[in-house]
Amino acid sequence: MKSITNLAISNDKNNKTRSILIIITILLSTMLLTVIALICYSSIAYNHKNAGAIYGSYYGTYANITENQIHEMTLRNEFSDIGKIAYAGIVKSDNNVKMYWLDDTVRKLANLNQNLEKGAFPKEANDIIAQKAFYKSIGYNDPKVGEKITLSCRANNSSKYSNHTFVICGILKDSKSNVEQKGYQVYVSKEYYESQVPKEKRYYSVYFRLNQSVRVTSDNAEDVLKKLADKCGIAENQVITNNYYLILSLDPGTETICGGLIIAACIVLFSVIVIYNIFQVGITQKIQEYGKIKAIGATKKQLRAVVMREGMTLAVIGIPIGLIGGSIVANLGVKWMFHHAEEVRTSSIKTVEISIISIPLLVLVAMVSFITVWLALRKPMRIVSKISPVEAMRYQEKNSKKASIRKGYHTMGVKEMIFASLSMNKKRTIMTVCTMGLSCVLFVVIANLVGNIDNEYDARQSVEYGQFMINLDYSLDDKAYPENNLDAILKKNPLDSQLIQDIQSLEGVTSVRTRNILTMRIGKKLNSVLVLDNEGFEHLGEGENGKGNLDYDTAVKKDAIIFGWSYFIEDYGFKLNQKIMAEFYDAKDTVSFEGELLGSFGNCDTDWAITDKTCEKLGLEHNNVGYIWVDCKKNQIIKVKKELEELLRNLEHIEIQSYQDVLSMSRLGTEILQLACYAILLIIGVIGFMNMANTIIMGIITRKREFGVLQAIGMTNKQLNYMLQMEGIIFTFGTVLIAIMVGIPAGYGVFQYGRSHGWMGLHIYHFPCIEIFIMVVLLLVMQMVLSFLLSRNIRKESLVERIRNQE
Amino acid sequence: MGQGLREGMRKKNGNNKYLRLIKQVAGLLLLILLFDISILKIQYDNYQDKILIICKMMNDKDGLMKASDILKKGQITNTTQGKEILDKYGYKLSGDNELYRRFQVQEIIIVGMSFLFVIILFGIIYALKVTNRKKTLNELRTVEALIEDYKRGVVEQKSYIEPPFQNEELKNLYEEICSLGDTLKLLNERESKEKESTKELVSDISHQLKTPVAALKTSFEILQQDLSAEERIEFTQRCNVQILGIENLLGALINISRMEAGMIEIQLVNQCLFDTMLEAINRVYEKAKEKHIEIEFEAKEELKGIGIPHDKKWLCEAFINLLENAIKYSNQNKKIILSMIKMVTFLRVEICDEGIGIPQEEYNQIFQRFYRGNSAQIRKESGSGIGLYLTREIISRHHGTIRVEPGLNKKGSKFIIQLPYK
Amino acid sequence: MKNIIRTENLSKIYGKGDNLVKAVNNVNLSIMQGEFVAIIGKSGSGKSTLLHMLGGLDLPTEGKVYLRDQDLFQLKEDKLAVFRRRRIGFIFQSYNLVSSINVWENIVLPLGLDGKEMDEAFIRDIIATLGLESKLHNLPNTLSGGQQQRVAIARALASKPDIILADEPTGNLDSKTSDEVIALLKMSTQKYGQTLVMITHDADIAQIADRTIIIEDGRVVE
Repeated sequence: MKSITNLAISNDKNNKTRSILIIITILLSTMLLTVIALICYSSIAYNHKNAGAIYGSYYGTYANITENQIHEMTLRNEFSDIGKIAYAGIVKSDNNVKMYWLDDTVRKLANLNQNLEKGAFPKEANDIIAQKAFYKSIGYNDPKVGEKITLSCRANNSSKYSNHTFVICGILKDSKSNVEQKGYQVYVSKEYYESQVPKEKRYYSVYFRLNQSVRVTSDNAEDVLKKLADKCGIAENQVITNNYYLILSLDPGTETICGGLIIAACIVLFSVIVIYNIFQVGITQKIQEYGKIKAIGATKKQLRAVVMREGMTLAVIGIPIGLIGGSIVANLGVKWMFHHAEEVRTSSIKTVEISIISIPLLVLVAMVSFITVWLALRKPMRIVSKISPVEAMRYQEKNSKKASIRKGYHTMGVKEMIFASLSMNKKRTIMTVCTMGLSCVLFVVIANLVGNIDNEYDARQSVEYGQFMINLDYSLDDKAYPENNLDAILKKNPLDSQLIQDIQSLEGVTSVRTRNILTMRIGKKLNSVLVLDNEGFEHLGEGENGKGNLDYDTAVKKDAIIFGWSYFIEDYGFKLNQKIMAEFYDAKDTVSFEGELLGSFGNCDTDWAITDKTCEKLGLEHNNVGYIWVDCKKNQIIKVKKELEELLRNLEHIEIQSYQDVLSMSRLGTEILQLACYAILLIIGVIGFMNMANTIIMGIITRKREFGVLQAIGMTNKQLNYMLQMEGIIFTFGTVLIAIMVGIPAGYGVFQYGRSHGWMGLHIYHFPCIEIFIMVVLLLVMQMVLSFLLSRNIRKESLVERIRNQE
Repeated sequence: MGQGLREGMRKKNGNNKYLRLIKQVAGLLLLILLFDISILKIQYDNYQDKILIICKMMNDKDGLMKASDILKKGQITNTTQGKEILDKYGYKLSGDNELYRRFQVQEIIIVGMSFLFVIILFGIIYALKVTNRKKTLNELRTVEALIEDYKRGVVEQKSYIEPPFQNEELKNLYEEICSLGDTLKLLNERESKEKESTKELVSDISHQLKTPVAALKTSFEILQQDLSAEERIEFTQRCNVQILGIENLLGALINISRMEAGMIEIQLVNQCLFDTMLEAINRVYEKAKEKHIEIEFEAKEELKGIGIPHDKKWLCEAFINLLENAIKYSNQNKKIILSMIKMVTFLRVEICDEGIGIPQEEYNQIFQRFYRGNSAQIRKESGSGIGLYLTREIISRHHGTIRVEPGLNKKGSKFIIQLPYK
Repeated sequence: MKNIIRTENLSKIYGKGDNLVKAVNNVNLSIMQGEFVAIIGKSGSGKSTLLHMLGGLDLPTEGKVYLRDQDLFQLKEDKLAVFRRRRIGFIFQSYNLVSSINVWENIVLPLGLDGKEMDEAFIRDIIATLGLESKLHNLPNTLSGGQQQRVAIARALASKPDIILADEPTGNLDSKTSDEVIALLKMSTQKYGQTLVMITHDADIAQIADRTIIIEDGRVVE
């Protein structure tokens, strides 16, 4: 067996060009596969690891649980971690200051440990820990650990306030949110809690995690938790699920994996074709040699082994380099992506850095790469093993067997030579041009898509007018804290006329717009309703995916109602033209409404929408401002932002968004997308170019003798160079033609599809001139460099050697 | 023969070996499987026991009594209630609890280790197989080496020492080849004896030639002396013969010089070559008949009418020259064959005789002026050494070519003439 | 008669030290216009190397080659190529033809490269003489060895060069076709007054040449 391996290795050494091209191809495709695998893995792992960090790692909470119920829970197999938090009273203050005791498990599950700035959580009976801002609010401007403070507090509303001395055991970090807090939470020790609340009156909120054996997904989580609650004697309405955590951590990442697999499959297919081509094109040269080997006694199996080992030797060189390169690129890329993403993100949550290198994944990628090479080698192996020694000596290219007569030109010259040699190998020429053309088509399609992302349009989807948008931050089904629901907020709307006046009077503000919002109760659920004027209505009606009749005047005439999310209209159990009966609430009144579901917007911010005229008719025009848009001069943006933040400091349930921030996030997203896409495309393009280079090189090597003869009969070097350059340019031309003819219509189609599905920022179609221009230039340059190198190479060998030998 | 033998041997051995291997492997696998099963069973029972203990403890309040019960009797009973309770609290006994997971891990380790063991064993068996094969190969190589030696002609008397072969059939083969070697040796000796005798013959013949030449010289010298009238007549006649020869030579020479001076025109007229050749044959017919030499003329029907641009007189001369040579240098009762073959651009005429032939080294030289061969037979005939030179010139002027190669069965000569159609 | 090819101390040496190979060793020869010279030698005697140098295809290590009193290797590469295509016609032992074009195109290719107007009647004449009229549109792979050589000869003759250099032109042919090809070459060169230098290892062919030069180990022996 050693001699076969040696033979394979020396074959590779002799065929340096082919070997190098194949190694580069294998390298690049392995790298690409590695990058994709690692990025998919890292995004899933990131989500999993950081879901807990962001949202807390508990599956859910049960509220108001007795100690007996907790005991039941601990007995059960399903609960793996259980933590308690109890309400210990309230501190007398202007702000809303609540006292709690929590155990270590809750601290871990709810990520409270990371809020610790100095000191530790309460251990001793009189320990207390709170945010620095809280200490300041009660007059301790420079709180120190060990300092004694006195607070007036009571356990519940039926007790009296009494003074209590605490020892500061720690200081929590202040929160960085834009709006100043109106309430604080301070934490006390277990002893204090138990001293304040008698045993029979102790109720806890329990945070828990479930055992791995419990089959729970983000969809059925609520049911599972409710069933378990039932088994422990806990009522349904005490169950709260930590939805976002469950979605992120339990999500097996099927979508990402599917996407990654599809791309990987394409890459594998492409590489197989390219490697196969590269091997195949040179095989005519080798047929004679293989025939000789067979004549001296090699068996079919041995010949197959030779070809396989030739390929595998190259793979063994290329794959490790590809793995390492891919890991490095993936590492850098992901780090850069996350780094950038965090810069733009406003929250202060510290996310866990994940190691992107996963050894099992790398082994998998290596195996896939080996399989790629194996697949590519199968046909060449078969061909080689079927050679009969005699036939091999006389082997001629298959092409020439077909043609025997040729019309030909009358006068011959360099130009005619070029066309003649291209038309002789029609099949091979077309295959090569197509493969390269395909990668260019891909490029054009992606360029169409990615180059047409309108960031401004995308940003305007969030901040519809002006530079800032102030809107209500509400829930619709917050059971634990019902004051967060929209109807409660509207009763005491922070966005009142006073605020609007204040905003208008700010220096630099040029205009202020408002839009009203209502709550609606349909069935048992609370929904939100947007009140749209003509302009707003038309704007939303222009959006994609609208269904039904979205005409403002008709809606006014019929006092119709419009659904807000056309995609989900059936999921929520509604149909077009259905009669909708509901109760509308605003700040003061409740009104019954009956109207036709005239149509549905693709997506708007709220569940429903009605026209302003309809709202007037219903008599609900009190101060129901849900949105305020503030516009100002470009150079005043920073100042106005500060002033707005000042104004809004003490208000709750408010969100403010800056158009500029949204715009830069959108831009960043686009940049990342473009970078990633073009990087992948570049690599695919290079692989395709390897194929084209191989065809051209092979074409030249097989014709070296011919060139020698041509030069012997008098072709000058200049003419030879011209011939080679022209051949190359024709290849390039063909590629570009395919790329444009197929790519542009396909790209346009994809663009339209994306637009109708609301993909990011696709609005108006622009022909991606610059990208196509760059592509053509790159192709031309690569081509010319290749031709130049080849003609230099040809001239190195003396004429005579060329005529005598083949390589 | 030897090849078939080897093939047969290989196949039989191969089959045997395969069978043996399979048996060995199967036996081994079975053993390991049994081993694994027993270990797994033990572990599983272990695990079951642990569970039962726990169930038991759930059941009763009197732990110590129950513990002693187990230890003394070794059995664990009364476990159903406990099982139900555990089930109620969600502990699946046949599945996911810590103990079961531990059991699974043990499973994997055991199976994994046994697989490793099998692979190692495989490796050992394979290695043994390979070494065995190597041994056989080495023995085969010894046989091959012997044959190589014979090919190179190195045939040594191998005394009948027992050759060190394990394989019976190979040993037999080896001995057969040794006896073949003996036969070869005999043949070699015979061949060298023959070569020796040929050498002797050649030196004899050259010896013989010297005599007549010396005699000619002597004749002339004798003529110088005083001779009787008869003697003078005799020797004069001999000289006459020589003079006739000289005359011929002169005639040919004049022709050549005329040709070279351009005084002789060759006029190319398209006419039937067949006729020209026939005329040439007719003119030498008498001479051929004298020696009972047969002249054959082969030509396809279509060629008989073909016209070639040529000068009938001169081309005829050329053919006559060639035919005369053929007759001169052939023995009695021989054949001369003329043939016409149609090629693409030329008409090919071959004149093949069964004469004394021309040595290859002289092929170029015979067309030179005044060249005559060296053998005794050539010297015997009268000739000027110009005939072929002239012929070649004529054919050249016809834009044709002439060359010579050995005749049929390497005897005699074949002259090949090519004449263009246009 | 004018001296059309002349060499002065022509040598081609490969390798160094122990590996030194003198392919052509100090060859001085001169060939007259219109001569048919056969260069004979065994394989490896250096005759191909000599021929290639005579045609300017290979650079000598030492010495000069004069073609029509022009020192060949003084010319720059492209100028040499032009000189070659106007003055010399090459016939190689095999792989003479460009496989992607048909017979006619192969024949007129040198003319096209030179940008010369072709004398179509003349070319048709050659084609007729060589018996190629019916094969003009065939691709080389459909022709037999002999036919391919004919095409090569036609190509060499088409541009009416002064010198035709043929390297074992009958190497791959059977004996009858060989004879014919040689006869053809001789006839054509005589007709158009061209000089023919042919390499062969077959001594029989030398019978037809005007002059024979024997090469042994790179040296001219006769």
